[in-house]
Amino acid sequence: MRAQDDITNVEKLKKQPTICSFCGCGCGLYFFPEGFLVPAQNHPISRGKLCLRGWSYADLRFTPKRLKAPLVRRNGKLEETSWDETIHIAGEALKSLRDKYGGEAIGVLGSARASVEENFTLHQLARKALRTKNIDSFYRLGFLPSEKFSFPDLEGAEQIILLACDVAERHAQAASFVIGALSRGAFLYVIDPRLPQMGKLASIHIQPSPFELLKEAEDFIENLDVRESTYLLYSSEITLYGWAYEAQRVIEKAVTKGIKPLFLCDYANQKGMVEAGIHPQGGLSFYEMLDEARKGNIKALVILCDNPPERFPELFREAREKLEFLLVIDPLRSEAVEMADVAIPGTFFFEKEGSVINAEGRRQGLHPTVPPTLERNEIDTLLALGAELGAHIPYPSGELVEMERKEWKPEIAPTPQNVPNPDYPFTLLLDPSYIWSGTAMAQATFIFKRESNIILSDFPDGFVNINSEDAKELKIRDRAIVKIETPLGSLSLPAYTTLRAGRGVLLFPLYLWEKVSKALGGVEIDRSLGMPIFKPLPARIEEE
Amino acid sequence: MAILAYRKIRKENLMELLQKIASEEELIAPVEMFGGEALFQPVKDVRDITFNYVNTLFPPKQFLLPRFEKILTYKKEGEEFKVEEIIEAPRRTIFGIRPCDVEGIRYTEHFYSGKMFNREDLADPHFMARRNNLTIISVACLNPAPTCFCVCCDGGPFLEKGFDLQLTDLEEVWLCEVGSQKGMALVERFSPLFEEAEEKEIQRRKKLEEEVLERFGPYPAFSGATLRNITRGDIPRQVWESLGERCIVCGGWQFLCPLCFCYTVVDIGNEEEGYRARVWDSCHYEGYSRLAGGPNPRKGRDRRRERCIFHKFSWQYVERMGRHGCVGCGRCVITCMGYVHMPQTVWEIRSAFREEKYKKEAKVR
Amino acid sequence: MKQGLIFLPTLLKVKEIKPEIPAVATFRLPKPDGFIHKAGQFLEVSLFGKGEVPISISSPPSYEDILLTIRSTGYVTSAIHSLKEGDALGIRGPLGNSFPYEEYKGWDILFVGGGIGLAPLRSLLWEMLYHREDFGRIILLYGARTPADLLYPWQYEEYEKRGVEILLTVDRGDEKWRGNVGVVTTLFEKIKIEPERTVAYVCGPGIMIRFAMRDLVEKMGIAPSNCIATLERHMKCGVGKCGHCVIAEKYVCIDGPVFRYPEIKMLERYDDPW
Ligand SMILES: Cc1cc2nc3c(=O)[nH]c(=O)nc-3n(C[C@H](O)[C@H](O)[C@H](O)COP(=O)(O)OP(=O)(O)OC[C@H]3O[C@@H](n4cnc5c(N)ncnc54)[C@H](O)[C@@H]3O)c2cc1C
Ligand code: SF4
Ligand code: SF4
Ligand code: FES
Repeated sequence: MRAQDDITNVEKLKKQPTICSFCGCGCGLYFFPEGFLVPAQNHPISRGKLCLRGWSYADLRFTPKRLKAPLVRRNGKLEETSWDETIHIAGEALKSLRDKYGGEAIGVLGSARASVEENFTLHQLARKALRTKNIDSFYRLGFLPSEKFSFPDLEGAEQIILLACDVAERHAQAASFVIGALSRGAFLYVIDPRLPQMGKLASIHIQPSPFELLKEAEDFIENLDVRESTYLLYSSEITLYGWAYEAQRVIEKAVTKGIKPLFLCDYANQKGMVEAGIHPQGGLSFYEMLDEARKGNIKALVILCDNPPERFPELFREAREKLEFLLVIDPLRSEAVEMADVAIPGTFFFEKEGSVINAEGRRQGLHPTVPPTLERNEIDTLLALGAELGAHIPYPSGELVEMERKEWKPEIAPTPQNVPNPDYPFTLLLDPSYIWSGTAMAQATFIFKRESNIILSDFPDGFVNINSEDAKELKIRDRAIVKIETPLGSLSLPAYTTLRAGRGVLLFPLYLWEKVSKALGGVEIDRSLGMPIFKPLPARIEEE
Repeated sequence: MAILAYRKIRKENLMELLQKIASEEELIAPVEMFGGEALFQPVKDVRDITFNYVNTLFPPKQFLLPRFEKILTYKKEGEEFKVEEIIEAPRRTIFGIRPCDVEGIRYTEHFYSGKMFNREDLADPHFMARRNNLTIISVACLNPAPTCFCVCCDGGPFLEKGFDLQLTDLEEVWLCEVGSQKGMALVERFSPLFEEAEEKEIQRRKKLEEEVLERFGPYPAFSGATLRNITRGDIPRQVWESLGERCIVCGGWQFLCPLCFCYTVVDIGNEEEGYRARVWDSCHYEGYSRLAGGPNPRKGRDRRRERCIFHKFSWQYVERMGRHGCVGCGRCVITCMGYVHMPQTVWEIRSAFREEKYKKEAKVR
Repeated sequence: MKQGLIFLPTLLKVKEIKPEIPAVATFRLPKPDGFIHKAGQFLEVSLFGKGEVPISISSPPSYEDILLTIRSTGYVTSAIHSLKEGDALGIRGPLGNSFPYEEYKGWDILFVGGGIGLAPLRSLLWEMLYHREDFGRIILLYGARTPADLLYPWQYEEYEKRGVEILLTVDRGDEKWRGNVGVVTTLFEKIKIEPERTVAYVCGPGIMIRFAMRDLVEKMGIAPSNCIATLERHMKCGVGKCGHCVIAEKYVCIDGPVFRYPEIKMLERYDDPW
């Protein structure tokens, strides 16, 4: 899709709607060069509403975290360099590494913050120019392919089931649809070992032990008197717990009963990214790439708008030390950019031409709404890199991408499950609610940064969330340091007593992932999905 | 201030007037976006102006109090800092603004000018400069949207003050009410375009105003009763908790409300050079009132919601601000993600008081 | 503050930085021309590139310099702590109302402080000590978490010399601590006052103010309107624009930070002033 518009005609540009680049709901909005936005009232998803993240999206216009010019590392320091020279340097470095070690020594990471077209071009670059099969993205964490579905249908829902997903925290617009349906008399069933905000609004809140979550869900669906329009929402939580296989069975059962399921994508263009070819395809998955890099088997990484150190800081740092070359293309001056050998600026959603696909599978156009500030966009950069490497990459026109994009249907395999253990009365569970805390995107805003940092500044070293009643019984004070023991290892963290954790459940936040997985005997990988998982673990807790 | 004079202007003359204004200063008027919504935008060619709107989703407060505004720049020169306060106040005319938003501007001005505190020495120089350079040509509402309830809130559909010119659509001509000296000067400067209004046209406007009152939708706000209950401070906690449970903390209400104006301050740049800016903020956010180190007087969503409604609907504020804090524009009805907007809140407060069980608990408190 | 430009800081060079207790230091700044303040007022202190924070003036009005005692608790305050002598610091102010002073000439004065809350009280205390003969007894009740957290220990002797009765307490003592252990309100039993001619000035963490005020009225018998506290709120502008500091309909930056007990009690109906 070549920019047919005169991109200097500001008057015209700002009349075009664009899409929020945080979660997978895909809200439409009007964006203005003054750093100001208006939710699109006629847009089927936003309907004049945006969440905190959507409103803060305007902050990106003036963010101090913007990467403004291409950077090349010289004598250990990143220095501004011209576009042509930078691309030449990157191309040469990649070419020599490819020729020396072969394409398998190069890893490529795509992004849900980039358009379908950009991801498609990156995929082409990887296959044709770098000749590698190691293509994936950290933004694929937790993704499951699912049926098509439409958010506005929820407005007429009679019954809604939320299966272990905290929509109010993570998919605010979906939560808004649910509350809208409730105000029209729908029934809400929440099946979740936690007490998410929606749990308080539910007609029935089933709070099973995490080990029995899916069984309970299955029983519930079995016995449910399914009406005309019944919907089931689920999200990456299930996948992160390592239950993708079992969950599929539950979803299939739901479908046979006439329930319409929807998988809520965590990130804006997660689905589009996967359909553009960014998923494991015989090569290494995102986690394995870093792991192999750490072992010295991956020599170079090409990262498009992704920032792995926000979730795996330690792993990334170790990998970086061994990497011979790291190229990052990103509009943000993220941690990954700071560690790169070559960094090339990219564009935000409101600056580019292209398309994105939201959780529903809706392909929405992106249009530049502010005049470009950069000489080149990501597609130009990727095509130029391809040329440097001597490969011809086709221009990713809208039609070409539409033709080429494919659903990803991985063969999901079961992973062995942990079993409850009478010696360990609690269950330790991952809580992905604070999914944006500490990420490059959140840090680039003003208001959302402040809000998402509250939890980080209250608990700089993390916390474990325990049910207030349980805490009372065990005489654990709020914020006291507790020791958590599991069959795999033990941890010490401050306790945070709320009602959010169900009885017998201990929650720890996603941003702590690396810290706890290390203490608990290393990261476990779901091979069929190519992603790390954190299975619920039996645990014991006591105040130190 | 009473109406200073009545004039009328023919439709094609109005366009000519606006085009003349647009050539001299910035003209802000509703423009249709590609998705079909109308939004206030700077207009160079008056043919871009749309008349097909009731109220835009965003009030034109952006032009008085931008969402993102540089307030000062600093630069280190040798040992010394060079610091400058930046006041950007182009001459502007807003055309097509609705009465509720005009009331909003008046309310905001009362606060930002320091009049609320009797501290006009602490007037906000940025806001005031822009306000003084602003001419308001408002258009009275003849067809309220289903979400509008300005009649319950003294916010429209016609106003008596606050505008420079108020136009009413009398089909073949626009009736102009001149509400200020600034408006008078405008009318006189372009006097060939205006004509004297006749008595029957003035009467027609009065009649129209009465007719419009019949057309209001299903969102009445029982503001009187709510105001009393909030002022006494005896609304049962359950009401706030129940509202808080549905609140998704999007903050959209505060961004869209013409009577909300909180902001936060950010420094952008390094120690040597950069600028300080202010950015809209919302009292519904947790970080809004959180103190360093963790304590937060309004930690719960219920507390924050209570605070917001107190600001909008308490006698304490009516006394300080001259009116209550809602003009009934209905924007929060559209933008509230949890469907706990102003009319809903007011309605729930009122129904809580109808229920005996709450009444008893209120007494205990 | 230049006429009308209420957001423009005046830049001053830090004359001296005196470390007090851990994470707390006192910054000495020269007074700009025409700077006159009253005890209880605060400044918006700004460090470019970091931000602005409200800080009470802890030097008395008659003192030749401005003293600011700042605790490093967050983003801006920790950056201020990394300054060196001679670096520039911007100030806006003085802002806010002040402690009633003239009104209480001839009265007995009771100061109740907790933690860093001694900083704003110090301004008033010293002003009274400069005019010692205008006041009756002056009592200082002060508490902190541990003996090491007691602010300005080097001044206590001077206070006593000038006729201040000091009672200290800590939440948790150590081996060397011989004084009282417990919250500051436990000191109330240890003093005898004439409530009808005593005024209490309270400053400290919210909870402390709340209980101290209650006990001053209920146990000590001081008239509520003679119980005076300074409140703390998240602040951004300091001049009644940003809305952050509000408690019900009162803006702490303009209507406060000094409030009398009946006012605070009134606010409690609608919001949480503590
Ligand atoms: C009237 C008044 C007088 C004060 N006097 C003193 C004093 O003499 N000495 C001292 O050490 N501290 C004082 N404080 C508290 C001091 O302002 C905060 O500790 C400081 O703002 C923390 O800022 P930060 O950026 O380091 O913290 P962060 O946690 O990074 O806070 C971010 C921002 O939130 C706001 N904020 C956070 N906490 C507070 C707070 N407690 N009060 C006001 N704004 C806050 C500020 O704008 C701050 O920049 C006073 C506060 C007030 C309201
Ligand atoms: S719900 Fe998702 S897409 Fe919509 S504004 Fe919020 S983060 Fe953006
Ligand atoms: S509270 Fe709602 S209806 Fe009232 S003025 Fe604000 S946005 Fe409009
Ligand atoms: S601090 Fe901004 S209004 Fe008080």
